[in-house]
Amino acid sequence: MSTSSTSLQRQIYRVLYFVGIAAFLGACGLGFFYALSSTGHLPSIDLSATHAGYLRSLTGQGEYEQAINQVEVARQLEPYRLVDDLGAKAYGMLALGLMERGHRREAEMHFAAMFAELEKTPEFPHDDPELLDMLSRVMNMSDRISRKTPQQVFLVLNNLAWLRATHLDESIRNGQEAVKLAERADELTGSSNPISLDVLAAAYAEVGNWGAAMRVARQAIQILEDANVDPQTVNELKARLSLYEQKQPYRDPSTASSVNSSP
Amino acid sequence: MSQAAISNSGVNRLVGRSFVNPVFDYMIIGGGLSIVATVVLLGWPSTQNEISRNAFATVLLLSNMAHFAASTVRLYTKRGTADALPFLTMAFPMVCLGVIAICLVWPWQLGMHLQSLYLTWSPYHYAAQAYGLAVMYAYRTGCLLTKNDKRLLFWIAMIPFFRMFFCIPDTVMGADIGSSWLFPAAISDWLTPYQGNLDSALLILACTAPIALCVKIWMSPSGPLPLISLLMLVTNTVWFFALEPAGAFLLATVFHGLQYLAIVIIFHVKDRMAETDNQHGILYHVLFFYGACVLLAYALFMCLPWAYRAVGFDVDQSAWVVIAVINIHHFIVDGYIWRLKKSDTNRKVVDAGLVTSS
Repeated sequence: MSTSSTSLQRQIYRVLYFVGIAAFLGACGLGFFYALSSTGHLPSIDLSATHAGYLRSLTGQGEYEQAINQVEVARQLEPYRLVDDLGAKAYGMLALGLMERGHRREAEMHFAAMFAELEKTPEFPHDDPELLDMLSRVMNMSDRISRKTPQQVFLVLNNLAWLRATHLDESIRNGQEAVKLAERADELTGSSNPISLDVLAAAYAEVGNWGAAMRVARQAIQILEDANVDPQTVNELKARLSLYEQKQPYRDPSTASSVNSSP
Repeated sequence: MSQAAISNSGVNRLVGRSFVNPVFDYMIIGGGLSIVATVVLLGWPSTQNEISRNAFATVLLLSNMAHFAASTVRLYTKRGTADALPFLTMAFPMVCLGVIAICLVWPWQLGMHLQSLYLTWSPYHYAAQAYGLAVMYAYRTGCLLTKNDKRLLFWIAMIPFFRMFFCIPDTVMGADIGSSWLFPAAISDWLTPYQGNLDSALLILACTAPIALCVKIWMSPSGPLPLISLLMLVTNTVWFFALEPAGAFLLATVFHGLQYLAIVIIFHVKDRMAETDNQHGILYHVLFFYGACVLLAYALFMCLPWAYRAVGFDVDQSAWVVIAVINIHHFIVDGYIWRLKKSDTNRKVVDAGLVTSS
């Protein structure tokens, strides 16, 4: 009886053994090829490299929630290192998610990377509503960001306010937000920058505050004329001023590509 | 045993009976190399930054990860283990795969505890290995320790473990360890004000107790304890007292791995060479065993986490749960494969060239 039960036990172990070996070999093969196909390189011996590859893959597919989970786990295991070349949108999305989950340090790393990416971009992105919404959320988050990198924040505030005020696509325009953003940008420069004044005027025009729009536009023109800048810029501002005088907001024709490509 | 093989000279008794040669045994198995590394890291801290992450990861694969795989390779290559340990050899791997899956389903509830368990267990494992190797060298050299001496040696070897258990207030690598993990918060809080004093007391004990024990043993009929046994204790103390906890874990990880690989390969090769049907030389057996360890380590640590990712789990969580389970599997397997029963081949390897007491 005892011998037969021992024998049965051994049979069970043997079955488990072969199932275990098959499962292990199968799993390793699956893991090997999955890593290869999803990250583009062999399963790495550097966990931070696999993390980076996986994070790029997730952000590339727009799986931001999962990507934030990834960062959240990685930051627990070691001092977190920023993954390179994710793009402004991914950095911003990760920063927002991390900020919401209370990981301020890592969030700020990603905010800084987002600003740096935007600064590198020759033309401010205007054809991705999701990116613009993300930037709006970033800009609305706190003044703390402005204090850390005023120059980069100014760039985003100004460009975003411009798009919210002048975009051809109605769904992207948001006059109230444009005014808020433009006023913040103007504050950062002490109302001395003609570009931010021009943006502020466009934002006022978008909400129908024609008086303020004309006053600010004239102020911008005055600064440019005093500084003897090229007449073409002055003429552009004058053209916009005449629109405001006719109670018409300005629409930026350069944003047309996104309108045409939108479904 | 021939008289020629027996050396009773005082110097040889003090140096101890080496497995390879004194330099190799002292530097690799004894951990002398790790003391040199600690001095470099403490004296020139910038060295740490100069070691690239990739280079360190490769070192980890070739030492630490390979050493985890080594216990498994040893388990399956040692003759007769499947018959002697059917559960461990045949069912336990399946249990481990299941544990990984369960911990990934509840990563924060179970996975984190598994990580805490292995990080708490590791210093004990290192201390136990230091004790086991110290006793083994003493035995090989003909220093027959009394039960009381062995007990003292065990508790002295455990001092670094007690430090890691009671005196580390913060988490290590993101997980609570030791008393802060196992004890209720009230006890941990009560312990906190005493941790500094306890740490100092343990440091003094760790520095003095091994020397006191050596003197005690030397004065006894056993004769001197070989210095390599003392070095085992010193090395383990240096790892966990000289560096901050995370650094200690990383250093210990690499050098404990080397120490382990050296000794397990020695046992494997000696086993194989003693077989009557052996047809290969030492180098073949070394390369075969080590190659198998590296290959298995790559599969376990690099490929397996991605398999869990492929079925929907988080890849980083998978990696850390896999690491934790492999650690625990290694600790358990080790408890069996290093047994020195008289009938075991391990005993023959240790006994080979045994020095008799004068």
